[in-house]
Amino acid sequence: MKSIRSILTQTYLGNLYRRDKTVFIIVTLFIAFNLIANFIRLETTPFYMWNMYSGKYPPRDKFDFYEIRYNNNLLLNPKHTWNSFQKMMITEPLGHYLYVKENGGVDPWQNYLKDYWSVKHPSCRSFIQEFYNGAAQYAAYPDWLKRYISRIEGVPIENITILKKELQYEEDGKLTELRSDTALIIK
Amino acid sequence: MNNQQRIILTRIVIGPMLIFLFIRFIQQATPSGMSSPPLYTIGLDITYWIYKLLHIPSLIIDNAVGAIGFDFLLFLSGILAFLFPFRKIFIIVFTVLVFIYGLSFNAYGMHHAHAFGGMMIVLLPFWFAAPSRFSLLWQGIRYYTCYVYGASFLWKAFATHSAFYWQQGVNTFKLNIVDYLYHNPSGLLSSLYRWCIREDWFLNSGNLVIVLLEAVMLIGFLTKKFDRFLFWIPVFIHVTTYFFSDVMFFEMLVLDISLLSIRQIEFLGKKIPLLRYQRKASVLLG
Repeated sequence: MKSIRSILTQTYLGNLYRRDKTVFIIVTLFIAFNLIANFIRLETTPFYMWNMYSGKYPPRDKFDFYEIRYNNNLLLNPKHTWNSFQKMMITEPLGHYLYVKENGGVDPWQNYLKDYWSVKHPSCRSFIQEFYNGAAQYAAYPDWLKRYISRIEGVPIENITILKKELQYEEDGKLTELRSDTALIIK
Repeated sequence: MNNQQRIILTRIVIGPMLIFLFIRFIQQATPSGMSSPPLYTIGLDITYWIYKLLHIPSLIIDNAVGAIGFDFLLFLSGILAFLFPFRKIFIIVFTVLVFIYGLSFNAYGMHHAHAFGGMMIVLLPFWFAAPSRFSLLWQGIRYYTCYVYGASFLWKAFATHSAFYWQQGVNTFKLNIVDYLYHNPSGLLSSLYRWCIREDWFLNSGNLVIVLLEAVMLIGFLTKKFDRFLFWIPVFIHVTTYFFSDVMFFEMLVLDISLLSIRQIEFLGKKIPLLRYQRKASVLLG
């Protein structure tokens, strides 16, 4: 019967230890940082929590999304999944901008980092403002959205209207629109 | 692994990376196309803190000339690394620029997505010229690939308990495709999507199959015997989630290359002459 020691030396890490101590240390640290990130549930790139879509998604009655119309009524419709990168560049900052606009114009990270985190870590106070958006960034956002959509669509953008759509699925899989509210107009 | 095999492998990895980066480039998702976005999210990720404190965004995001220059260097270093697989400097520069790009897109796309994570680390073994050190690190990438999918299963099974939550498939599907179905109600794909919602067993079973396949990847920690089958699991997962969850995770497949055997690498080299092409060994070996 093999001893535990001989089994361990045949493992990848055991092999590394015997053949290349430097690589053994690098790989061991990499594994350790990955495990720590998972245990404390706090990522430090590239030490990720690979928990892809692991949250439970309970059934919902209503679904909402932002519809973007430009130049008086043209629909921005990046319909292919390979468009997901430009879709992300639009939808994520837009959702954030609208959320902040509704909530007093303050980045939620500002509240957390300035009022809580830097109180616990006073040495970070001098640079913490680098890590959240301020009024100047929010003021620049509408013009950037026009610039970015102009780049995607290849036409100058005169105006943009953002509609918040609320929908529900029917039994046959079709969608019924429940509400459509204007969330933002950029001129 | 001999030099010829290593040349082929380096190109098998860098070639798809360049294609994925080019897709992002034409999607206006690299710095030159992002048009200096003002909003960003840094969160509590210390790597992003360093990225911001080094004022990297001032150089490559806020500055139009810097953004174009960054894209140029990103592609140039990648192409040179592809052409000269043994010139470490090209691979190191390409790796660093890919890493900075990953941080930039996630910060200014305001979502710290994981899809690019594989691209950010897969080239690290290629920094080392010594065959034994490279080989050991490349094996490490193979284990990391098994870990990525295995960890996803472990999270679902033991942390969030969503692994066997029957309605997970249809519920994520409805959430992800609502804008697509609303704007594109006609067409074959939309008809298929509506059928999937009516017959929700199909999506829920599909989700369960994916979770179980993620668990199967853990076999890779015990033996290499099944690598030729394990290779197809990430391919299956990312193709099905592309069509049924509207998510593009194909970039993760660069990690999957670590499951290829030497024989398969040689086979690809024979089938695609560009992969094994070398003008002068002395030039390539630097």
